[in-house]
Amino acid sequence: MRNSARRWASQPKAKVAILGSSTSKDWLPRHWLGQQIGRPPADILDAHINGCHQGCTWASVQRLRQRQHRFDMVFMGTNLFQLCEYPHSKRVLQQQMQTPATAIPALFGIYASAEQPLLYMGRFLGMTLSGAYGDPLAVQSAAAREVFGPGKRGQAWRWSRPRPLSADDTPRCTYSPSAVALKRAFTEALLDDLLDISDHVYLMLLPERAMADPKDAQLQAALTAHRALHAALAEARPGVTLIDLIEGGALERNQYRDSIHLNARGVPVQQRLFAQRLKALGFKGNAP
Amino acid sequence: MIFTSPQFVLFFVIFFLIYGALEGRARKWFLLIASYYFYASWNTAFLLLIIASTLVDFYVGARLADSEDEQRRKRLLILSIVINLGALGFFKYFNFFIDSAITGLAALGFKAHAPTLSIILPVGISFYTFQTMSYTIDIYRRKLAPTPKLLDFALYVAFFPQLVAGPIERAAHLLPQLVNLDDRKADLSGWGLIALGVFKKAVIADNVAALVEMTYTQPQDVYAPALWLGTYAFAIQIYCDFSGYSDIAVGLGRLLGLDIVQNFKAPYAAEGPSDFWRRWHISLSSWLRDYLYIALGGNRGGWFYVRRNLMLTMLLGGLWHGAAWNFVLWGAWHGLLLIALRPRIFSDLRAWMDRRWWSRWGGLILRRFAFFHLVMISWALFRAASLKDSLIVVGKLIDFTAWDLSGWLQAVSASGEGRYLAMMAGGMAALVLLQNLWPVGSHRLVALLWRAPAPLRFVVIVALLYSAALLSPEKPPPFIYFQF
Repeated sequence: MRNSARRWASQPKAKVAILGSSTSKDWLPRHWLGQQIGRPPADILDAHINGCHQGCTWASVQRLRQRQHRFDMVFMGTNLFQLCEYPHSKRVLQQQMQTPATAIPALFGIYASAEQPLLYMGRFLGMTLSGAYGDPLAVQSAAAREVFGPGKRGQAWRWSRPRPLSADDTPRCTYSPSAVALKRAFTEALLDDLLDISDHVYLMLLPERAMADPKDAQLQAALTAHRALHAALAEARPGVTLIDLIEGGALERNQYRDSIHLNARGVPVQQRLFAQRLKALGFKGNAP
Repeated sequence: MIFTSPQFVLFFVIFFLIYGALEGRARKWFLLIASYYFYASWNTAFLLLIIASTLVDFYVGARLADSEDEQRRKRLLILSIVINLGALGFFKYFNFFIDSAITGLAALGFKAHAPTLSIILPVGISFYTFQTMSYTIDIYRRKLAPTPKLLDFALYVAFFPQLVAGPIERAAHLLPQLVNLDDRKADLSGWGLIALGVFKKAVIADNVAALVEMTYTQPQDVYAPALWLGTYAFAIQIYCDFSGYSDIAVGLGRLLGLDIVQNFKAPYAAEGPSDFWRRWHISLSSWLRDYLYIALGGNRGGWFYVRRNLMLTMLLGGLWHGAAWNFVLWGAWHGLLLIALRPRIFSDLRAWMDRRWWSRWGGLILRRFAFFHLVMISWALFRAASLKDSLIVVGKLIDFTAWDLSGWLQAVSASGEGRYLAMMAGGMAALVLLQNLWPVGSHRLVALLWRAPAPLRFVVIVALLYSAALLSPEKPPPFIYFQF
């Protein structure tokens, strides 16, 4: 987050911003994006934060608004995994560190959509009042290393079976209404607030490794719901354009370095598709 | 809104403050509205089901007491039982019976297509249905006078601390307390039970759950010794999960000045099946004994009838837990144990061993050890995801010829988890050993704590709650018995 804040400070006049988590930015270097949309790299602000899902991005937007940043366009990516509620305390930490005091009531209003709203509110207030990051998982992890030893990374399953349980360790989103309610509320608020600081928002739907399995009925159903939700969100907001990078995108397992991040094979596939989509939207790049 | 969630804490704090300020009917109405709100937080529509069940059994109870005509009384009782079991059967067993019938017909070569409905199981239905049935059956048996006030009866059915997962209260025990709610004085030892229950659930049950999940997912691939470890872990998980819930329920009741029955009493110190059922889920086992086993004939009748009654009671007890064949098999296993260990030779053998101190102690240790492992087989049947998995797991557990202990120890070493597994196994063994050396329930533990000076009590309670906050895993599983 500190790196991101430094970048924001160094480019107060940037007219284009890339927001979201590492999955939005890893494959989208500033100079390459500049070539596709006909802008110099100095015009493009890399405002992403690693692990920054919708809630964190919403908080970033509040901070950018407070700093009076104003953009012509914003590119923001999201994927299926990010849409499920995942109550890790680091998510609240990201929100607590970035949300200006004036936006706290709005944040708590969004928390009301969560399965356990008081959990988020309690964590937020706890961190704000104590000035400390209260993460019991970090304490557990440190204590476990101390008591049980360091273990062997990636080998823990070996005590129970000769083969690992599943080759795919992708965190799965069931997309049940209660599981996505909070993230949906964050996404809606995020798009509305982005339109306050930007003339246009390009919302990118990103692929992930689990999508390589077309036979997984649950996943396909979740994907259909995911697309329909974002299409509806974009349609309801004239300044938002949806760019679907799933269909025809990086859908081979070997194009990923883990469950959600593209590797050197996947990045060109994604970039090729993104360039096509931009062309279809009327962008005239200055790529060689 | 589970007991360990922040929502429940907020709900209870607000409830407790207002409840304490009220008296008389206002207090009762407030308790009823709070109980209905608590239930509606799971599913609002199913509140109608509780209200319907309340109205039916209140009406039937009043009419039963009015009537001297035995035929009419019998018809009224049947009406109550059919409505209660009808609702339970529809919501819990409809798809199970349809699926089983289709599978059975397919095995005989017939292809059948029948609708399966998307039915949501109303939370707690198995508990409050048994509770309301006990009310009408007791009035029918003239053991209980009906309550004249619908409000009191509605409170008995919906009393929120024990509404969704028991203990299953009898009207004769809870109703008089609810009728005289103003006379009840808050018992602060409830805090001790709540803290102990939260600790059992969040620190013990939720943390051993990882071992269970790892070994009971695709169990066909799991090493047999690992499966034993997972089964021991499940025994600890289900005990701490369910008895933790019961402790919290009883503790909440005490804070409101109400006495809720004890549901567990050191079950892993049981010496045999009858002893086990006097220690495990006591409110259910006593319900099954009083309303099913005795109704079937109990110990009366010949050799065959007694065994039939035992087996039927345990089969239905298994089915009560869930609409799946592995639960039926679990019940059958317990029925089999009750029958197999019933012959007089066992009690004669015990009397003979009890004559000398060394054989008395040796026999006690042997009985507890052997029965604990027979219970492990039942937990394997209970925990497996399907009937097929149940058979795979039990097959692996009892086939000692397929064990490759040295190979498994090498696998443990390769995993880097040796110290973790050894400490988990040691912790679980210590818990079972402690239960055997000092076989008392949570009530007794808290009673002992309450003899200590107040500052010490405070420190223990805060330590239990703080360790629960600190050591609860990232995504704690819900209470196991909520699904029933």
